Amino acid sequence: MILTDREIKIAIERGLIVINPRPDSIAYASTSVDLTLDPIISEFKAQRGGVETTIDPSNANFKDEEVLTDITERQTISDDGYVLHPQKFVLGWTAEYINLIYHTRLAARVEGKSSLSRLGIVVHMTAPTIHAGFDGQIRLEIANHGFLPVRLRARMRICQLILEQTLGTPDKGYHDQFSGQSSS
Amino acid sequence: MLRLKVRRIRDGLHPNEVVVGFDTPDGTQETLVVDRRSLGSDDTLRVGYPVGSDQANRRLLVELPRETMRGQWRVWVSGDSVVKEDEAA
Repeated sequence: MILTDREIKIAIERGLIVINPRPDSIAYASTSVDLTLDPIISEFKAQRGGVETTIDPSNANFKDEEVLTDITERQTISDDGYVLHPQKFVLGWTAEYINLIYHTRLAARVEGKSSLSRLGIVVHMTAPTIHAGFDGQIRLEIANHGFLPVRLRARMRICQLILEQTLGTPDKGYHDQFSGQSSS
Repeated sequence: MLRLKVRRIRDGLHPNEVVVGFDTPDGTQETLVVDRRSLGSDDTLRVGYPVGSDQANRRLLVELPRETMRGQWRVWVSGDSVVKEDEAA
């Protein structure tokens, strides 16, 4: 079941979810709460002419964060905003720190906002799930699939968080639930 | 609740992120990105309760708060690589 705005606010009040800073009242819709864009983004470096770089995620030595560090540059969105051109892709973060407490029967999904989707902006690449126990700022995979550049601004409402009640508590939220399991 | 002992390896892409690592009993080094606020002052990471155990080899199966760089959510760790949350610094 998806939490309504009322249930989300109650969950925050009870400390079952942490959203810091707390969303404004206008950030809520009936079944979601909007999150905003952090000023930091990671921009992919332009490839040098004549050089081919191929990523091999199945390689035993592949470490995605190290690869991303090598091929991206950190940028801070200025007051003029950041222009995301068509077919360009950057990594971003929510400005809000999120914590889904382990033992709560909650999970979440980060999804785009229709007002931006209509312009071609997507905020995740098929990995929207936020599991219980997550804490941190949510990483966003932001791409412009539209036909015109779109100016991104820090603190703009960039995505929405949808909270769902799970059927039961995950294993990691249960004390002593593992006694019958083995590695075989 | 348990906390897994990790070591800081490098800064993450965002200033609030850090790459941490730990060794599994079979010698594999797992690394993952976490928020700096997730780490205790003793560089431990909350992993909830174990989701499996292998008492013969003194291993615990834990679920990490984020996916590792190798794409793992659940990893076997040695019993002495975790501490109870109330015993963590």
